[in-house]
Amino acid sequence: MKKYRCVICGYIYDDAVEKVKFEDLPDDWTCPLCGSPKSAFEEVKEEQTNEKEEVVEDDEDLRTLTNEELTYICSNLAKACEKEYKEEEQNLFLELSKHFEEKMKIVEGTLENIKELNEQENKEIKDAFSTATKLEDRGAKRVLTWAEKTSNMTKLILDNYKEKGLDYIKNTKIWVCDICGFIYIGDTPPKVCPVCKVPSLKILEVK
Amino acid sequence: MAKFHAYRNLKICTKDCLCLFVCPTGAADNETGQIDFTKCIGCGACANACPSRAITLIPNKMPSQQPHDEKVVKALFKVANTKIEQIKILKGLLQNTKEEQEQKLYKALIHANKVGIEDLMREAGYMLPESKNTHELLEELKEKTPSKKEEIIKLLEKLEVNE
Ligand code: SF4
Ligand code: SF4
Ligand SMILES: [Zn+2]
Repeated sequence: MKKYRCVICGYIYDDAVEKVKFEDLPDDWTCPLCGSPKSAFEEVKEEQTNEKEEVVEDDEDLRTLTNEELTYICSNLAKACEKEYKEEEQNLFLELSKHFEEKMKIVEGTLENIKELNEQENKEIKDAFSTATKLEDRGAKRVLTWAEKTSNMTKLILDNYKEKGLDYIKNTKIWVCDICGFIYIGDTPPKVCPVCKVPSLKILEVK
Repeated sequence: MAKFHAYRNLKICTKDCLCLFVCPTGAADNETGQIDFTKCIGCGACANACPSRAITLIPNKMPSQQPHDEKVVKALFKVANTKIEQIKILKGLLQNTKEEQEQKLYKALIHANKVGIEDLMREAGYMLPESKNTHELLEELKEKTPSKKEEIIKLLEKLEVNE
């Protein structure tokens, strides 16, 4: 008997309690919680190999921040101000963020390029996670766990889009969870985000 | 100095006015609808009495951020930058397509990456607007970003450093 876990939302499919074995599920079966395809599931290994714990060295120095980095540092600080009900400060940070975003470079590329970057990102997340584990940085581990989920999700969306083309997104709405970045393709969003569990109020329709 | 001050969420407040009766200083009774922060001593009586749970006590001084090892910070920045590269390409793709659904998909991916980067930046040392790190960043930007100098100075004035 095997168990499988959805890499996007964490849903567990346990052969021991289900009527149909995971292997025998049809290819178009999807995760009952978040709608990800069957390919998003990985087997849960019982004796989990211990988390890798090793500091991955990187000799690149911390340099001055780029316009792109400043864009998101400022938009994140705006969010922090919002949580403290500091509206004026929030707006000032948003304005700074906009200023830097206007200077952001736009690059010509293809979805293939994004797929490659996505793979690179996935590997970097794993390295960062082992560094954070070794240095016992709980906050960093938490944020990297989220990052890995979005990264897996991006991969699935790109694969799906490559396979099905425009049919994949035709005649349907697209939604994004403003809290964790989960993307939902369908007419009505789930009541709570299957990944981070915020209510659908925070799941915004892309216009 | 008081450790907290009360903040009334005007979107939830149903104006039952229980807070007005329990407040020992009259801070809750204010013409603006918001608590009078100058009178509030942060006792919390209003928050306990509010039937709508519309009042939150906010610390006057935010606790300092958790420090992160430089190696962790570097690793987080690395991931963030790979996401940034994806956004740059997605923005290009967005400009080059007229297909509405395709545009939505690219926008969704940009948004998802943005949320991810913001989270990473938070842990990479920019969690609190009141932190020393943020303050130093603003000081540096003040000189480098003349067109936004006014906004930056305002932020520096309004955000009291907590560490
Ligand atoms: S008790 Fe609560 S709901 Fe009533 S006026 Fe005060 S804040 Fe508003
Ligand atoms: S915390 Fe105390 S002093 Fe401040 S508004 Fe509430 S009841 Fe009044
Ligand atoms: Zn979510």
